[in-house]
Amino acid sequence: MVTKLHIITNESIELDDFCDHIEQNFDLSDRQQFLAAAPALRKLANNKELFRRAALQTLKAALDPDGFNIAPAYMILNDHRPSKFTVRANLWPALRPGAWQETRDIFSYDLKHDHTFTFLTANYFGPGYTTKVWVNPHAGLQAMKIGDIADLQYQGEFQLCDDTLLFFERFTDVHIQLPPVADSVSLNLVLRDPEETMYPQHAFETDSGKVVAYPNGSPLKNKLIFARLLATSDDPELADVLDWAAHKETSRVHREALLSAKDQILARAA
Amino acid sequence: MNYIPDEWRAEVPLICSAIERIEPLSTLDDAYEAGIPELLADISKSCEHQRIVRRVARQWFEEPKWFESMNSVPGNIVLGQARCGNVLAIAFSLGFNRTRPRVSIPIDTLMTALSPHGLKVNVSPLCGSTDFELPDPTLRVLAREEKTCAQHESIGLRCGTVFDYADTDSMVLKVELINRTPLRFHFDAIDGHYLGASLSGPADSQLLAFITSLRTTGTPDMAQVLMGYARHPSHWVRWETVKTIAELDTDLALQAIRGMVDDPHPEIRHAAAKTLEGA
Repeated sequence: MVTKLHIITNESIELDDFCDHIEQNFDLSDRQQFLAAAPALRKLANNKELFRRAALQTLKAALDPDGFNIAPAYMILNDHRPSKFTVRANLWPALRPGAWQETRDIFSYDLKHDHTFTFLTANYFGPGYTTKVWVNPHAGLQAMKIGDIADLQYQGEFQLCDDTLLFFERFTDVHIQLPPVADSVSLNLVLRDPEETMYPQHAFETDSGKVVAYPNGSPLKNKLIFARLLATSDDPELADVLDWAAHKETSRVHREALLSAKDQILARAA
Repeated sequence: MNYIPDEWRAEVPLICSAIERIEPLSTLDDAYEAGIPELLADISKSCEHQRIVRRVARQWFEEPKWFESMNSVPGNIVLGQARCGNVLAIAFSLGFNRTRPRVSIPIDTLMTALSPHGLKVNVSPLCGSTDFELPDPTLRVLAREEKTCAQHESIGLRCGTVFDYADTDSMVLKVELINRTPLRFHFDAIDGHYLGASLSGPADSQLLAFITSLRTTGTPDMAQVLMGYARHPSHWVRWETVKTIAELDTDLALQAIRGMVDDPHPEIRHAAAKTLEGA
């Protein structure tokens, strides 16, 4: 269940001081301790230099004429120091009349989805976004298949603003992000967990809990899609490759997908 | 550029030949004239593609790092890229999501069905002006027409066509040609009305979204760095960048606009001249 926290402070903190404070005082794998880090994140969100520095760095780094390559949805702020958590600034552009349509997809607006990581978020710039939230009470560390139906329970609509922070738990909290009325930036404190790459993010049908896609680029998502793609073949020798891959695979979901692909190929070849 | 390792080449001579044959082509018509559908059919019948798919699958499953380094769905196995930008790839079609907006393809594309059940796509003609330099708000997409082809046969799609794969997953051999539209058009999935446009390259679109958002989130010291983006290859990015600079530093924006009276794109030259008239 998304947790809403009200914190008001005018204090500000430097990024390195924030990182030291979190590293020394909080075990973010513990829910209560993660929530207790909220006042520090709010202070960091009062540091108006952060975004300027990160945006300038991003612009300069991407200025190679062969690249001009920017992923604008978020900028990681603490990648200069190894850590068990990530601090990132997320852009949330308003949709202007005649806006480029890609904006909607890049920023996952109107897409009902969960997350593979747990995070705390604070508003940094602008009015902040609004989000509709559902809870998936039976979510766990598992990958749902396309077409599976989750029992999502509507929790309500939340507005991220300067005195409100939101805490999202991985897989359990599902939401639709609505475009803000004016450009906004949020700051996220994200718990890094090696397990997060083992499971795909899920996108759900807007009006139900039906899984319709794996929207992010997790390795497991790539493997599941690749297995589905290989299943279109009629090459019996490829079935042998899939069988070999399935027997050395540790993920149950991926193993089942590989064996299913193998069966489809053999059925077609026969 | 040939993506097939040298040690694999002897096993796939037809594919290597196809990479060379697509080199001088620009459009779908060129591909038909050069007999590319027949060549792709020969590859499909020879099963050369199966050798590639097996080798790639074995390599990817052997080393999990392959999947970790992918940003998105491994929907294409690129076999070769001509110097002009034409691409030969083994591609996979997945049944489409009926609720997402429908988008026009920005490049001429030829697809040959490799799967035994053939290939089924839905193609929709556009109604309205197709002047791709000037998005027309009355543009809309008409109802889907189903096109099918049997295994080894081809379907050609001209740039600007709105299409999606039908529900059945398929494997195809695909040639993408350099003839392209600068924009992709987005349409509502249900009633087909025009939603707007995006740049034909996703990387350019992302860059544009970032630069546009700096009009409100940026600071004046970003304007000087943004001047570098006023030389971007996409004229849409160049012009939108100048609009962002104008929000951050008017003097610098004027300097950028003065430099654009000699811009390679006529619309930018025109817009720059008009802006300077009013300045």
